[in-house]
Amino acid sequence: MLHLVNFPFSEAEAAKRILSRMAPKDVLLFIENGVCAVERGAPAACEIDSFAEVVEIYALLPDLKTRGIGAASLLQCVQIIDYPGFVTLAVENGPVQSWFR
Amino acid sequence: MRGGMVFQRVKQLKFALQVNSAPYSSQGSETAYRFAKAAMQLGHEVDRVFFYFDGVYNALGYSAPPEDEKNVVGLWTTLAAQKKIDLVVCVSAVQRRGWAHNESDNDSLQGLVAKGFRISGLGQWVDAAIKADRTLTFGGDS
Repeated sequence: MLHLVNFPFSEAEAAKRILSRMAPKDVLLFIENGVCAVERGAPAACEIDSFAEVVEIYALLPDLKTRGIGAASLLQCVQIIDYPGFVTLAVENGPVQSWFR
Repeated sequence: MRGGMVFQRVKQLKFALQVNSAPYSSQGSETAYRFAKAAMQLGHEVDRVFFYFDGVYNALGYSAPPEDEKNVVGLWTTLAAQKKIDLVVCVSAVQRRGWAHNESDNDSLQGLVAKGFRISGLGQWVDAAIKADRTLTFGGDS
């Protein structure tokens, strides 16, 4: 399953609530304002890092660029992906679940 | 970076997209638009985009942003014309938002939406979801 998160986790508990619903081999993609969650030092960075052993974690490149977030400031577990890559993740990891605030 | 071009595509899929947020107040519509374009460039099909909740504002025919700003309604209209995507606007969501004074008159509602969009019901989303290989929802609060 591909999980889409479009909002930044403001606290660790919010991250845990969503991350705990994920199964091994699921894929997590942060989009829109959600990409702010995968910056080093973000409120739930530790929780996201701890789930990287279980799920693959991605962030959408255009949304990172729009917010001035460079690759160097991302958590090490995060892979950067573009829109064609987003599509391919959806193809390879259906169904797709969107999580909203 | 992992990009679409470095993946080996397994098969062509049908997508159905739902857009729930208004343009200019949320990024959801633009994300859906860019996803749809990328999917079709990779050879997949986007059969229908269903505009629901505040997403119906993406279809408002009277939208007239300044020329130096992105015309979200126009982008969808152009995409529908180029790729023959079915852009469906939820009639109930439109009526709730007071677009027409005569709720029973679907023709007057249709006159309010931009070219390429059509007014219909939630059943169109159900139909699209049944037929699609993947459904994606865009546009919640971010």
